[in-house]
Amino acid sequence: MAVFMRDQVVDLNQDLFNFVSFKCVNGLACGVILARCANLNQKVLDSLKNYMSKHQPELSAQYVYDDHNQVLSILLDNWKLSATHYTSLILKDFLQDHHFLEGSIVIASFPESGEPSSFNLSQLVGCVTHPKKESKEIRIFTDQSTGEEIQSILVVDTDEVVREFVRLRLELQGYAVSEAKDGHEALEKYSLMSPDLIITELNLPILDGYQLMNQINKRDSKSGKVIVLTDKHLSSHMNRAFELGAADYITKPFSISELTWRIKKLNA
Amino acid sequence: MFTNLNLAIYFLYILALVNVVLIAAIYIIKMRNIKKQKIIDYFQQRFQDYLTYLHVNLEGKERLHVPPFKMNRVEQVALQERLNEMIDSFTGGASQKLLDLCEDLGFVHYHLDRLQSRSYRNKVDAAYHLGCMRVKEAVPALLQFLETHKYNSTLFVIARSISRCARDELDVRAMVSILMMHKKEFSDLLADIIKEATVDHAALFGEYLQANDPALVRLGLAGVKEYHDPKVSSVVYGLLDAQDTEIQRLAVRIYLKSAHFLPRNVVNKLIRHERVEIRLLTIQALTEWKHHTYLNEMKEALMDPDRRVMYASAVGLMELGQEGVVVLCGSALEMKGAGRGEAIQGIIEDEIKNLSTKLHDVEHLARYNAILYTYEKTFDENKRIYRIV
Repeated sequence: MAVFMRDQVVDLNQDLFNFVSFKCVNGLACGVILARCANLNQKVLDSLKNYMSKHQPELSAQYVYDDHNQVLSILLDNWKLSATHYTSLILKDFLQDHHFLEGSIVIASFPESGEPSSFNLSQLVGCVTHPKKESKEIRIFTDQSTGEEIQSILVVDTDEVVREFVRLRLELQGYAVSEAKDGHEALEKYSLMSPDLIITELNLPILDGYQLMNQINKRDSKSGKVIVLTDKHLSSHMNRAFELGAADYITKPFSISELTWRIKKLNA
Repeated sequence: MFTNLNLAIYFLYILALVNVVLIAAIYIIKMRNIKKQKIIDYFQQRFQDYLTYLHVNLEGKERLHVPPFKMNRVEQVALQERLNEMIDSFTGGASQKLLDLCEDLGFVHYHLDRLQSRSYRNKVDAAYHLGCMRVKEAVPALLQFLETHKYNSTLFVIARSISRCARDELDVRAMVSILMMHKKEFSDLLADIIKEATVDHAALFGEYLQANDPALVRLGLAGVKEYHDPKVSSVVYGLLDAQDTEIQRLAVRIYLKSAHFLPRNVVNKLIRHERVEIRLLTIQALTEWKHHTYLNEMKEALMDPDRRVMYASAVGLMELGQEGVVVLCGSALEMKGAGRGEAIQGIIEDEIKNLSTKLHDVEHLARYNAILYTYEKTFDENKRIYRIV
């Protein structure tokens, strides 16, 4: 069903809150996709609905366009975050092909993404109406507070796949994550940001992981916590890392659950 | 008339031609790299959201979906490369979800078909990718390919793929026996390849250690050499008396590395071994452990006919602290006059001299004082050789 709204953001928030709360109270997951786009009309919404149904016949959704704020909302019945994320890829493909997309797409699924409170939902809408940076990427909304000692993490690895994966997963859990691709960059970022935790590979260009830990120890007597995430499997490497003050040692290939568990253990 | 000048001119022509060819080759390589980079950049841009989707949803029960848009062949190749990297980086459920995705994308079927291709290049490429995707049903064809392949580096690409795809230990054993037919020395590489298989490596290497074929025994030793498990020492113990000197050397090395304590009879046996290499390895291991238990054995090694063993033993005794230094100085005094005593005394003096340059470090200072005290006491030196500053 396509509905047009011409009210202020506050009404969009209220509408979202009503819908999400209703679903969550009934024990169902509720997926939300918000996209900043222009010039949508009933015809476009109908064709969008057909397009989405073609790709995902089982999809049950409400399409709402707030033309005052130029925000398209899609509310997905019983749709978890993973499914919502995939649906947003289909939506983006449609919007970009028709040149409707004007800003980023933000997705969430409640209760997975946090409590369906009016505060969280207004934050979610704010991510689209007042984005921190202008881009057309798909962003995932999460309740940002970790409530833990470790809040900021620096991930140091030459492998882009690992860096990106770890960053995304930890950001989803509310950590502020930054990346560095070598020891020198890591040291610079460490000086600038003083992260609570560093996750580093040992095999790094310019400054290797050992030298990095050594430099950090010299700079900060309290020594920032370091978890080594490395390809090096030999016990000699492990011993050397622990001697230099590593708090934990994980070998690749690794599991993100294990990594997050180790971070939580450091927090304990 | 043909003159030296003509020869020089021809030579210059040839040089110029070679230069042009090389520049053209470099230009082609550069252009290829630029093209490849462009494809990667385009891929990054178009697929960024999809890759984020993969990263975010790698763990969890839901199956990963294929991209909701059509891909051309170049994009499929780029995605395949990215998935290969991801499969190697993650374990367990995440890795399995990526393998399932490869199947859903049709990559598995595509490369299984290519493995039957008549083009050698396609077959090798398919073998590599099937290995990356751990396609178990590819093993029989890969084994067949391995069997008919000549001995070169590509042989190990196929072997690694078989190991990654192996359904059980039988597949790994079949791969090993085919490679062994080449009768070349590549134990370390093969052990590394076997470790890629999802089988009980320790059991497999243990089995090879019991084999009659020395090549398999070497493979077993290469496989267990990084293990620090006391069980390994009991497995390699039987090889300490091996006829093959290389096997014996490796076995002793692994035995000494994996054991945390050695029975005295074994130490005596190794320290009196006819091969100097074995005696040296034993002394080095005892030095590393710093056990006072072996003080007498190390003292005995000071009389070893080989100077390297004697030197290693002297160093080892100094590492044992005051007790070791007392024994060392005493032995040097006892053997004085026979040349050996003077040699040992020289080693002690060298160590004192060496430590005297590092007295800013408290640890070195304490060690310096301990050695010097015992040295002066034993050799009745009235004045200090080096003064602490």
